[in-house]
Amino acid sequence: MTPGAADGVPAHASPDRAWLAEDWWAAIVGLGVVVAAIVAFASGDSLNWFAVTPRVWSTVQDLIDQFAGDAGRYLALGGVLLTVFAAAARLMGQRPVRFAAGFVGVYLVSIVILTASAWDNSRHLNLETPLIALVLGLLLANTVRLPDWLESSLRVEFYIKIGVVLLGATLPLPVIVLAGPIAILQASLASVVTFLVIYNVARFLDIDRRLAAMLAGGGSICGVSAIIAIAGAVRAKRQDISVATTMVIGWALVMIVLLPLLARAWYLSAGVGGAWIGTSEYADAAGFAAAQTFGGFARNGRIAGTPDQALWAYTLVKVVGRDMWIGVWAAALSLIAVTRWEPAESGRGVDLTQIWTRFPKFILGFVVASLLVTWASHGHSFADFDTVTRPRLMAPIDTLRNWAFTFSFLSIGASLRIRGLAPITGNAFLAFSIGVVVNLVLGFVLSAVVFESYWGSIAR
Amino acid sequence: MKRLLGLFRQRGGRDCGGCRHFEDNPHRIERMLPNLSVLGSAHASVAFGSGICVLHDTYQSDRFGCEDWVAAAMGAARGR
Repeated sequence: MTPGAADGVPAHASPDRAWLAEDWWAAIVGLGVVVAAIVAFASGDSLNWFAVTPRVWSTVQDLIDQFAGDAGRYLALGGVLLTVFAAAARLMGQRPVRFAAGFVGVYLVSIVILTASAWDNSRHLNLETPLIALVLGLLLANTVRLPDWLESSLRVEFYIKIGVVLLGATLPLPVIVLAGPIAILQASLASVVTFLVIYNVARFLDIDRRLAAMLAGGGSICGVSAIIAIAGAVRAKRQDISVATTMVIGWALVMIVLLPLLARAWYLSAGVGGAWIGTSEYADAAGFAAAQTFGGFARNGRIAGTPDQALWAYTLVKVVGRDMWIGVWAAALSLIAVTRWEPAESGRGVDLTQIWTRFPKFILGFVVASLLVTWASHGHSFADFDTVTRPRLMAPIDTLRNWAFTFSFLSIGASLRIRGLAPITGNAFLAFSIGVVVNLVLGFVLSAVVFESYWGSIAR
Repeated sequence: MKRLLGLFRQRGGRDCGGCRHFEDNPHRIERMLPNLSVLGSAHASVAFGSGICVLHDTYQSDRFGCEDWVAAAMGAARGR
């Protein structure tokens, strides 16, 4: 297929593509919400009217009364989200009308998901939002043929990055500053060890070095994003990317269910479990699904701690500890590829600028959001925090974050065509799975033993 | 040391970024890599500067180059 031949889309991206990257738009949208919340708060109001979400209900009549009373709010929220997301989609080169049509579907199905998880029996059955969204999405994607216009709005990474920025708004900046070094140390130890294990086992099993590097990166750094970054740095075969992606997707889905259950079975507190999930999950979206599920156990009193602690610990280890360094890994592997894997005549240099170009820019939005809200709330007393700041400034941001996460979890399931997964070899499965076990054990030791006292009391 | 420093020097001209066979449109990349968007994105910063060589069926940085380089069509090639 010749680039640009069939579908009218330009063959090459524009020179200033960096400014159209998804990360920047996620940061802009997220920070836009935070600024709007701060402005409303400062003027004595709040975004609570917009930030509607289904409340706990028991009977169908409860539900009818809720939606009858809040119909206008749901329409307003949907309208604002549609406008903002469609504009961002347009600026990222997508067709806004197709995106908008698809997003209406995403929004409506998300209302169903949030309503289901708000049913009082859902809590007793541990049916948390991420699992409902994932299962519903998988059913939709693999039982009916979803139209293209719906698929264009299934932007897993875009929604989760917005959610991360909004999460930053509820995490005090001092916590990020103090926890950062510990998160980086824990994540780096686990990443380096796991990478070396997977890579060396893969090479021992005669797997091509580029595929071995992608498997190792996917299993130790940050899943599919790491695979893409490393693939670009080492010139990978397209088929091998699909193999590595299949491996990560498979294990990431398993971990969404397994990690929260294991953490609960072993009585890990919310913060400790969140840190373990941050060390052991592969992709941000899958990890948030697991961490939010585990946090739900805290809300129901099944584990010690708070739901926020699970999310915060996860975010610090995964986003600050792992995601940030992806450009460094790509540059290092690029150097290895050029000096050891390729002929000297290839004529290619090592591009150190990729440390910045590949840096996940939404992390900047996460930190800035924390800075803004920390600043906006600093003049209030501790007593005021619980009665004024939290309900009027942070609560609506939390609610909107929950929406963003729900869109992302639904998109994971609805994007996954099980029949489209690439076949994997036994050797690739073995190498990756050995790394999974090593990572789980190492992550558990670091989270629940070495740094237990820290994660167990995070932000308390 | 000279060789090491030489590795970091820019080598311009006939690189994939200006080649007809190079596909770096994120929408098309996602179509050519099924299930990539389940837990990743070709629009993300991590994918910046990379694309698919449709001739060799590889995914790589636009700074790579090879002897099969063919100039992209006028108006479509990227500048730096």
